[in-house]
Amino acid sequence: MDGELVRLEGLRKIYNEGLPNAEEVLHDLDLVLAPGGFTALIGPSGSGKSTLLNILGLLEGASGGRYALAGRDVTAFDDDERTRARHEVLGFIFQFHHLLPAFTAAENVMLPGLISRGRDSAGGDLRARALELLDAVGLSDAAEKKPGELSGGMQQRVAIARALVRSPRLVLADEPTGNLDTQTSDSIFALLRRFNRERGTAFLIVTHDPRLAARCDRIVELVDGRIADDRPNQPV
Amino acid sequence: MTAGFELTVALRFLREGRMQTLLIIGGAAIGVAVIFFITAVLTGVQGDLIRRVTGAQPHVVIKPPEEVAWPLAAGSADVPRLASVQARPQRLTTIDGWPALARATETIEGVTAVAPVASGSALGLKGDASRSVVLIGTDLERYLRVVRLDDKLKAGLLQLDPGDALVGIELAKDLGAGVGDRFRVQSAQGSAEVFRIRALLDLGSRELNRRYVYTDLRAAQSLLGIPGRITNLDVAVADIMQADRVASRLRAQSGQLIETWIQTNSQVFAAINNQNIMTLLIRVFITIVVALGISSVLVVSVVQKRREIGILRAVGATRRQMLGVFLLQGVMVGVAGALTGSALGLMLVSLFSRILRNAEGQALFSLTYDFRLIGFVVAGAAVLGLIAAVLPARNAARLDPAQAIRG
Repeated sequence: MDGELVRLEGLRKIYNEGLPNAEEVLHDLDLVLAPGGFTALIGPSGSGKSTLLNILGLLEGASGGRYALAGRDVTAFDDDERTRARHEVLGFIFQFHHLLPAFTAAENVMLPGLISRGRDSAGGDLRARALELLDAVGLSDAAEKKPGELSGGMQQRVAIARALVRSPRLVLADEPTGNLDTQTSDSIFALLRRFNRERGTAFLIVTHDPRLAARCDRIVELVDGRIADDRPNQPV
Repeated sequence: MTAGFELTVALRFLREGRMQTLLIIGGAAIGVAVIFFITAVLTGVQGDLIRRVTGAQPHVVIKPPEEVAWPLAAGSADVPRLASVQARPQRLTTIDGWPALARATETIEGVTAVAPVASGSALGLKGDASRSVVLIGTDLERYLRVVRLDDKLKAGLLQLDPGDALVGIELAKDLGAGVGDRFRVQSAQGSAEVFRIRALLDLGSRELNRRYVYTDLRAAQSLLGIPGRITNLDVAVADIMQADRVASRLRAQSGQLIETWIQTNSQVFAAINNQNIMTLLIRVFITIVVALGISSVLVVSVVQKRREIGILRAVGATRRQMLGVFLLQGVMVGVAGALTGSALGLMLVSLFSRILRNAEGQALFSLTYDFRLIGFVVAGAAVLGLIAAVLPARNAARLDPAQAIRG
């Protein structure tokens, strides 16, 4: 199973299951993601992209089918096991940066490492690692600033550094450039690409922007909860 | 950020919601200060009242049993039924073998001191003046451990050599005598003796000041015609409010009549008890209000921080860790409130101890820095904060991270 990072088989998601207003948003979905891949997930609003991302991110459970993450079947995991698996394998980048306003940029980057400080000894000097990552995203001067003092693009860079601080194997990004101007979007995207090449981190990027999708290695298109298209792509 | 994850986040959340945090700590502090203050005032006022009421009384008195008339059993045919039973007049009765009883009494749990007393009524005579007095003969050194006379001393020396007497100030005035003067005491049995006044005492009530004459035990015994014997044993107990409990232990041990200050002042005791119940109620309600305050602020905080809780969960914080974050906030708010409240309470006590005075113009309560009390209050507040935080912390732990992040 070493060749697969994610394997979904017959995955289904039904909201309000068993109620009259039940709604099936993902139908019988199969998907395999390889380590180190750089994949775009596209599709119209309401096609189930966010739901799929939440399930992949172990933030929500599936209603049917199987999900294997990094070789482990996580379908039946309870909340604690899911939290742990999420913490060990995954990183998140959200559309609205989602930094904690009470913490400095460096502290926000350190947070995922701080959570597990009591559980495992990985990470070495957490702060040094956070500063190194902030340097890598071009924010070495902003380490002690609070998110409120940073621009949108800078906040998203902090969020990227946070997603990478524990060297996850897969980063799930939900519209990471959704509310940024074109120029900033390009630089953020370039940053993700660089981490993918330099560190071998796999990315799954939900985006509306065909320009950005065109720069990925693979494009998966979701329509009405089904995979409508899944093609390799030659980045422009 | 080297402390634990839960503590770090809890502190940041509290600091971030500065206004809420300050308000709830202020609320908790006022609650604690009020509890602190009424406890101090109550302790002071009750102490003063008890001192005043018990004054020259011992906490517990051991007396010989009362003499009763034993009517013949009624009902048999040849014995006429008694129409009425007349109570026997009470002679001056004595306790036999008192040294042994005194030693046994001293070993009872809760008893701190025992003193033998030979007491009876007599006449105090000087010149044309004649006053009825209560003659109390005792071993002064032991007696002082039972009843504090040192703070009642108005003039002279607390000392009882043979031929010495300590008298109430009103009696001295009535007899026209002062320290060093002599007066005669004549008992109902007819014998008389001359005593020299060594000291004047203010026993706290006019009645006592008018009648009490303390002499050496032997002199009283011979005046009352009971050489070698005593009329009662006066007992001091460690906790005055527990006098009844000690009394029942004494009853189980001896066949004597046991009387406590609580029986002789039942109304005062009932008033003190009611006061205690009322203040307990006030304290309980203040505690509940403070707990509800902490709870509601944290409930609101969980709602406000939904998204942040969601992010923390997404980046790997467990439910248990989120629970810990909010429980810790409750504990910290409680402890901070207790510390501020204790300081505030001490200030209130020191301020009011200058204003509130008793009849003699002394401060009603003294400012006692009981650090154990503060420690107890802080520990209690920590537990209270923890309990108050349970509901909001569970809300935080149960938040669905996917939903929390979305909206």
